[in-house]
Amino acid sequence: MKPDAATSFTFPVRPHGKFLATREPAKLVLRELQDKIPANTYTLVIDFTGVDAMTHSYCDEFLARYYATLASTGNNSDSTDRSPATVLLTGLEEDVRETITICLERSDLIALEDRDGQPFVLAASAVLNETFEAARQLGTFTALQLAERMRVTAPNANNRLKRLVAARALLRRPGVAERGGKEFTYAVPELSPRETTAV
Amino acid sequence: MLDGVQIELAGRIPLQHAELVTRYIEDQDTLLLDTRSLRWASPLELAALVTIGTDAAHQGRDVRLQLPYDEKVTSYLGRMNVIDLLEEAGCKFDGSPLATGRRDRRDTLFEVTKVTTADSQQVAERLGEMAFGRLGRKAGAAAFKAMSELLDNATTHGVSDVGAFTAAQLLTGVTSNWPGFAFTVCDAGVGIFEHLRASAPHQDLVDSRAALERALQHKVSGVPGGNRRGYGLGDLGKYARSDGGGRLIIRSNGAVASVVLRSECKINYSTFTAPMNGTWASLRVRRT
Repeated sequence: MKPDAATSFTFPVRPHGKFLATREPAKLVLRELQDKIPANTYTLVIDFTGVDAMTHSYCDEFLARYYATLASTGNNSDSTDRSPATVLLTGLEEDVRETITICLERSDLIALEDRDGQPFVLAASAVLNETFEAARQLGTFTALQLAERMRVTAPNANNRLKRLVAARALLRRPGVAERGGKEFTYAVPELSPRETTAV
Repeated sequence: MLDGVQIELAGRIPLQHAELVTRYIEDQDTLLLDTRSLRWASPLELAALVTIGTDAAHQGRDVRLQLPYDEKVTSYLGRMNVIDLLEEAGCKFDGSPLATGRRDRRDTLFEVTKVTTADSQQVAERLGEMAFGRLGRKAGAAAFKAMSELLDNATTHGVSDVGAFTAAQLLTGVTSNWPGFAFTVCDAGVGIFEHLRASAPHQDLVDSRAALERALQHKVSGVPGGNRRGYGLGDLGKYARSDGGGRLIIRSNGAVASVVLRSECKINYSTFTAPMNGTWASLRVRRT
């Protein structure tokens, strides 16, 4: 599933500081992010290029709140959901990545990172990472196919997929099963090349 | 009428070692800051002087600073903004503040600076540049995050009309015997006891010492619904230990916690009586 390049939107964090420290400014940045995402944005890229350090408090007020909002809107196949189908973090320095990972882990959240064109799921458990890796190998797939591949039950596979979809780390599209009835297909988002619209 | 109080800061970095030495004086409504015998001041003494003086002036006290006998120390108080900020607050001086020819030391010194919620990001940017510039990326990031977590506490939980005051110094080890950094932020807010007691889970607290003990526990927050909060002080220990260990001193109202930040944290608590509002946090970290 290739995103439409025209609907990608990049939010650079660097204009808000090289060293991101306290909660109050983080709240304003989150508000700005939410206000600036154009309607029908398919891929949102939150770009940390040039940010040298970020505190846990800042990350909590900015990213953890945003991902919590995404998780609460459920999944991206809901026709009422206007949030992006894919959300990517890029430009992470090692220390910033570590802060984000710890912060999201504490809130039981995960996020997809584009690291030099390769996708990584931050703050994910070993089980979720294995699931994401299996998803990458499968390409476009159904929950049943993933369950077979990972030798787990279908409900178990569904639960894992739900978390990845909620974090916008995996795309989900409704379809019709061969035997009739509703069936979703899943895919790992393609990361590059990506045309972006910066603020 | 408010009691007249004299606060003495004497010797080398007195607030790192002892509690506030205070006595009552006859002049009502007066705060006398006695630094005549001060021989060495760290960011803690500098920021604390400005905070306590500004807060007292805000309450309507006459504030007087007795300047150090040692001209070098007086010059340092001037260089680090203590005299300008106290003068701005309406403080009078016993002795003559020396004119200071300032060299640009922005790579190692962060003069006493007022910080509010609105400008905390600008202050943090300068602290970050200083930490990365002198300590390198890894240790600089740890130092920046430790300082910023304290800054965040002061500007969010310690809000008052007076604001908070911060100061920092990067130490090469030549005069301090150990390289690292020293950072302080002092606020004149309600203090940890009142802040925690305002939230339902902490209404059992009986005094400032109990509140400090609670605040230093993992995942404790006075913010209603703050279930994702309360990591700041714990993280701060982790950042400090990842560098080389150090010491965190928190004074809030009438209680002090001295936390040794090594592989295992050791905390000593004590209490004191002094007319001090708010919370003072001081962090000293050694580099390995």
